[in-house]
Amino acid sequence: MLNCKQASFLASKKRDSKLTKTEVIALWSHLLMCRLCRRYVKSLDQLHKTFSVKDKMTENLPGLPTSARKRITDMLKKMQQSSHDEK
Amino acid sequence: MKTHDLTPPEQWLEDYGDVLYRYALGRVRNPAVAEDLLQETLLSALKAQQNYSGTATTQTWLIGILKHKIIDFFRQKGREKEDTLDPQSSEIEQLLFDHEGHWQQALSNLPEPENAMQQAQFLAVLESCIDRLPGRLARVFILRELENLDNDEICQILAISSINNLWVMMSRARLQLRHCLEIQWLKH
Repeated sequence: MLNCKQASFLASKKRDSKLTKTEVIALWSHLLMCRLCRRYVKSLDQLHKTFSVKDKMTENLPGLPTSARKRITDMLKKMQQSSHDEK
Repeated sequence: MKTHDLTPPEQWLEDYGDVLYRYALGRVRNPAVAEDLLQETLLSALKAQQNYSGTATTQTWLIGILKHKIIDFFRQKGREKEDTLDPQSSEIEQLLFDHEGHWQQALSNLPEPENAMQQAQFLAVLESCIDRLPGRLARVFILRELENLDNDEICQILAISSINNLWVMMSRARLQLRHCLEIQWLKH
């Protein structure tokens, strides 16, 4: 019989890879009996769902700081200028 | 097939600066590094303008370049030092499981965010939890869940010696993230 630690590992592995038949059966029979591990699997699904919404994760983040914007603008100008000069 | 015109370089920063910066920041989790990667991306793009084929929009093309920069950054980080991976138990596993491998404490259900505001709060909590992961676990997790790279690619980029180690790291990252969410999000 699996313990919860082993079951949590297989539940996680299942997200990244195909489980072997033995692993599938072991995990499944553990989950049948263990409410906490079923909860764990459910929260992994929730987590995955959050990440799979394309770039949901980054919407919240701050934009490019003004100082960096200016620095990069100047740098790009300089670059373009020098490539023009070469021609 | 629809082809796209390249937006003039003078407009790149104006039009895509925030999108690219957030994309980088969400993955490298460090503002200074995200700025550098954005700058390198625009420089590379400037040099590679002739190679733009028009099959993708300018934004998608730039993000493609940025993705490579991010992976290169992770690759360098991965080479810095190989953390010893304790095959038996990590700190998080010792915290969550008793000596027989059962949960020490009952897990709570994580409530689904009910509206946009809660969703935004949930994401903010999740991000702070990602920032608390040990660097190496965070990089594995981000390449897997955000960049959707496959196992072999991640092992190669981060110099992880075996695929089993990758699974162990992913499992520990998920245990720790979930635990952090349970504490931080339920407290909310």
